[in-house]
Amino acid sequence: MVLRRRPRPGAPASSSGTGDADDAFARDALSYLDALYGTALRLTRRPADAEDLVQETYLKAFRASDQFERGTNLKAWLFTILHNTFRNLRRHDGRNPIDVDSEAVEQAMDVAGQDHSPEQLLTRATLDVDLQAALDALPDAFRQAVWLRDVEEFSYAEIARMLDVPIGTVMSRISRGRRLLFDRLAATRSTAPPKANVV
Amino acid sequence: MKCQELEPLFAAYVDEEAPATERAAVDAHLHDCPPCRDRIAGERAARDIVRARRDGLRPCASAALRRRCAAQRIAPAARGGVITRRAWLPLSLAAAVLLAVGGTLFFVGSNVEVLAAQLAVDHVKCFQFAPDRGGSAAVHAAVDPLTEGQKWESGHGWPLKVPPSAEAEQLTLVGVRRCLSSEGRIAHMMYRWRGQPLSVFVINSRPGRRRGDIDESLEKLGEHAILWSRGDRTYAVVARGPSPDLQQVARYVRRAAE
Repeated sequence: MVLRRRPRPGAPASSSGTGDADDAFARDALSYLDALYGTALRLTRRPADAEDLVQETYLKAFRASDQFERGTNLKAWLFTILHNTFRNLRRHDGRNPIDVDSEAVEQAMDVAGQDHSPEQLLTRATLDVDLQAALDALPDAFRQAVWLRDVEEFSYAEIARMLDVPIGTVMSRISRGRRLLFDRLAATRSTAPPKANVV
Repeated sequence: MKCQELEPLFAAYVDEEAPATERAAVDAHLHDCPPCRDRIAGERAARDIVRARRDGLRPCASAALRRRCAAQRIAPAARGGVITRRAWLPLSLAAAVLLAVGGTLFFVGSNVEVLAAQLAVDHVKCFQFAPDRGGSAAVHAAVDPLTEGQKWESGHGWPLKVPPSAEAEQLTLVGVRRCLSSEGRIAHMMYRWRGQPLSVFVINSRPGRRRGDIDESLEKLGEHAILWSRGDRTYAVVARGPSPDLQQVARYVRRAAE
């Protein structure tokens, strides 16, 4: 990633270098569009809402581009804006941004088929649609944590900042999310092929 | 320590990012706790599968959304708030140009661990759906490595040496196919080895995107993967079986394919 130094708010902005820096910032930011959309879709579960969320994220990012510190992780910065925006939208909707039903999770984990080996799981999980459905079926908090870690490859600390929770909570959600995902994939053998409820 | 006390360490343990002291504590616990051993194995398998399939899990944003997002840069200050898709105005030519440039920057990185997991999944998947699952000897005999190599080169634009069946290695060529997700840059040569599926992958890197020197032998998702690189090519042999025996097959493939 190549980003030039950006002027602080209030500084003269007439040089051609400023335009180049804006172009570079926009180009780099837009290169993460697919990743942001994929995450937005996992958050909202509706393509139209996901598109609005991503668009609003870019609007805020371009407006606040002066606040981005050169040399830091632009992708993580954009994802933080995305999650903050999502939380605010949910708050305005009167809904809890994260719905963690611990009891339901524990019950689901008890359903786990203990006789399923990872090799058996692999054989069953080779179709993307099965994996999509299993991911979508995870509780929101676990799905977010697993997605940000294993698909988008963020560090625990970056995820903690995005989700505004302690690192320990992030690690616990990742662990339990993976476990639950394993159980759901293992359970797909005895049921009809599931359909992904997004995409 | 109790299982619950160790649970917060499991993610870092599976990701191999736990400090040595914590790792030792988990190892000691796992030694005496079969349920936690199963749990770790399950979490590791789930992680490997998601990472291996991450490209397929990510949806592509529509062209319309790309235009809308690029347009946010053009005149955000002129607008009072967020422009939803319902109120979106046609984009400017500048936004389209910006988007086109930005799109070319996308790069998918992949380390050897993830590559091995991806190939292990492709190995299992391709044999699951291959027409030759039954392993008919008649079908095997019809596959000519020279013809397959020529067909590959004419279809994908780069030469491929297909190692022939080898009785001494108990190796029988079944067919050659391309990995659908690779835009023709990964050749998948399918064999029967002692009656079991064996895959040889050849990855032809894009100019300027060499993966670097690789010489690895890894266990991924129950399969053994041997990977190495030579020039702009990366090779992999994937199968289930004793490592020393598979190394012998890999040596044969090196001689015949490079």
